[in-house]
Amino acid sequence: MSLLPADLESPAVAKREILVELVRLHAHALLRMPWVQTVLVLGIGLVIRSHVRPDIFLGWGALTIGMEVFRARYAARLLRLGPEVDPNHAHTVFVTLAGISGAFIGTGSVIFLPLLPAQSQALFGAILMAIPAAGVAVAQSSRYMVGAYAVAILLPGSLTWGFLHASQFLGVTVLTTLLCTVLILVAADGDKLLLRSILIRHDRDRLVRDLEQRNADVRAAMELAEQSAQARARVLAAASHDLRQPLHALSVYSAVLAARPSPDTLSEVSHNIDQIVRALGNLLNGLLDLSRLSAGYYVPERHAVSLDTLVSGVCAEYRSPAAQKGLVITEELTPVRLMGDPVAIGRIIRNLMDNAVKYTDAGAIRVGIQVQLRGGDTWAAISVCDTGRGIPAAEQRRVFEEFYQLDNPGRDRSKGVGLGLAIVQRLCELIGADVTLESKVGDGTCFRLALPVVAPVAAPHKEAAVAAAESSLISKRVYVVDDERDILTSMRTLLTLWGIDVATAGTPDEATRLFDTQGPPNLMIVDLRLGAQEHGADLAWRLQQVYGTFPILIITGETSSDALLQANEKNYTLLQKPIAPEVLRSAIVAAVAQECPGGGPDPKLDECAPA
Amino acid sequence: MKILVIDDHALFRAGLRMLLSTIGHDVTCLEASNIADAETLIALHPDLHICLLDLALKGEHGLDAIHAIKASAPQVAVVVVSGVEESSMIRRCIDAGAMSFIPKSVAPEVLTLALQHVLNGVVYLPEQIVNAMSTIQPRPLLSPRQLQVLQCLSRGLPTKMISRELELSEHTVKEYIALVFQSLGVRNRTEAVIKASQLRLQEPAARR
Repeated sequence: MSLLPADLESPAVAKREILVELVRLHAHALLRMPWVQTVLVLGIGLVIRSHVRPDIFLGWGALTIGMEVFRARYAARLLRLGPEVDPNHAHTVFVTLAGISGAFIGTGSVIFLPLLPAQSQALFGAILMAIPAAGVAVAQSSRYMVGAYAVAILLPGSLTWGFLHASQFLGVTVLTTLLCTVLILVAADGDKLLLRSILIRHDRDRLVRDLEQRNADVRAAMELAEQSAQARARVLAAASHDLRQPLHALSVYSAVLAARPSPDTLSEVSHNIDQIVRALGNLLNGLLDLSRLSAGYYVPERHAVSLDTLVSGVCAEYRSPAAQKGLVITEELTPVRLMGDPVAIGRIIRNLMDNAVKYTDAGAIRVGIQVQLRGGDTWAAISVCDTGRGIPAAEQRRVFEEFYQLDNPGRDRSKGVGLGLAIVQRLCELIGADVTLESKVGDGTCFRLALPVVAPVAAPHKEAAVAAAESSLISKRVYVVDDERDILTSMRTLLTLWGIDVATAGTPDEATRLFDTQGPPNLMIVDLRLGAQEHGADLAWRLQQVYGTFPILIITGETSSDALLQANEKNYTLLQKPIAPEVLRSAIVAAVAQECPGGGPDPKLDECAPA
Repeated sequence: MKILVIDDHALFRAGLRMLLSTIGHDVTCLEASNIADAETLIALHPDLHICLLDLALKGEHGLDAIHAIKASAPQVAVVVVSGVEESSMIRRCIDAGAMSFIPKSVAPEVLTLALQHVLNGVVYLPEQIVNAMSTIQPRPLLSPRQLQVLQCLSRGLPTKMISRELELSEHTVKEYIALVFQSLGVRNRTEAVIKASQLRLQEPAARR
């Protein structure tokens, strides 16, 4: 049957459904039966009262009415119990009760028929025949109930009739059988009708459910659209204010310049313009990031991430700006590996660190990772706590709003643009993380980022291989050549964290000296631009001619140049700036691993770990 | 000349200060970022001439600042310098006693010009406001005294202060004001200020 709804496709389910419906309908019909039976007994009493003993008749009447009262009470109990009722059991009980009830009525014919004159016999017989016919309506469409009821009533009656009128025995038997058969067939038809009505009801329910679901979907979508429209309007208003303000200020400075200011003023003007332009740049970048996150262009990635390594890398980046303000960064990082988006997590931690450094004048920034159990799930909690000025309770919710800044009444954009935490929140929503804050004015602020720990699901072999490769970083010798001291410092910090034995050089000469005194490394990381005549790829090539083919990683911020071309020709691995610690780490792992199978350039340095 | 700049945007304030001291002679600039600081400075400097005021202060509205200044130091000429530029707001500022209104969005040369006007005691209002009034009327002939009264009105001085400044009786000042209104074809002070800006009326050179 093509109409069959999905949840009714199994015949057993359909059958049970029908039975439940049947039991319910029958129970309802039974509630009326005591009254019907009382009227029936009165009617029969009027017909045969002059021929039978009143006490016997009343006894029979009371028995049948009592039986109906019993059935009605059982039915009422079933209805009260509702869905707890086992329909199979209830149906069996109903069939049995129908049989007993019919038998009680049928007994009447055995007792009374012989006592009646022919005319009353006929009338009584007709009434008896009518009772099971009416019973079809009461029994709804249960063949078994109708069968039990009809046979129990008609069998004693027809047997008695046949006994009294032997010549009519055959006829009566045939007609009674016919009646029973017809009644059962009618009930079977009713059964089909019931099935159809249940199917229709199911269809209707499903349609209503679908419609409600769709309505809810539409409502939710509209609500979301409205919310995002409001948020967009708010951001737009704040952004237009914040974009116009520096423009107005620039216009004033332009007027100052046109008015030929004194040299002193000139230097102040240039300093202020510089600040305004920087702030504008930050603002535009922040807005772009935010719009990228909001528009859903950013699809979070899922990689195996060593959270502690990632966080410690970010801390290394902030060590120097923190030190400039006299702040100490302390780390307490429980090692955690999970599946997550290293870029997003890194960005979140960076924004939190940024705020911590910005809003703390003295003291320390404590960064920690703890593993927590929450309702059976494991979460990694990254905390960034400062000893800064704190956030008043009333403002703690608002700090995540775009353009909301504490304690910056002049909206001085050199203090940031007020988008950092908004970006944090968006990113958290995207990667399924939670960010909360705890703060006390004067004591400091703690931001906590909770990440669900989904264990890395990469193939175990690969995992083991990666782990082995990473552990192989320990005490590898790596030379870093870069002409920027800041970069050398942060690289040294980062690589040392990974257990690498780092040496650094600021010029090609220093690098050459390093090779002269300490020999070739397991890996050389070199910036393409060295500020000298020789660029990174040249230097690497020259040293390789002398010391053999040790692995090279070239770092560059360029996208096209002759130097880049040369680096490409020599097949050196290139890393584009800015480089996330995760990326750097995996590049180092890959480069060091590459060195091993081919054997070291120098047998002394062949440190490949035994498998 | 002492000028107080009230704006919550530090870099804008600094820019205004530099511009004023570059284009004006002998300008001393004071700065405030909120109404309370401004009131303190106004109380400390009774010889303050002009106050440049932003309307959008953090959590405060510049209109309240105009009322506060006009209540405590009516002789200070208030010039609104604001990013807001709806005509209704400009009118409300003049109603409250402001002498001029310079939108922040004007071109740099217009800003310089407007500030020069203001330093010279000339009313400056944006064109949208000025153009809204009919200009068919010929330039009215005002006597030097009448010009002085108009100038005092523009600065937002109450009648009593005008009479003190011009050494006239209040009654006479009121008559002058009625005459000025009549000559300009205006009904109140706000319209008179707009008209003055439209006609580029300047106080007589003798008074400077």
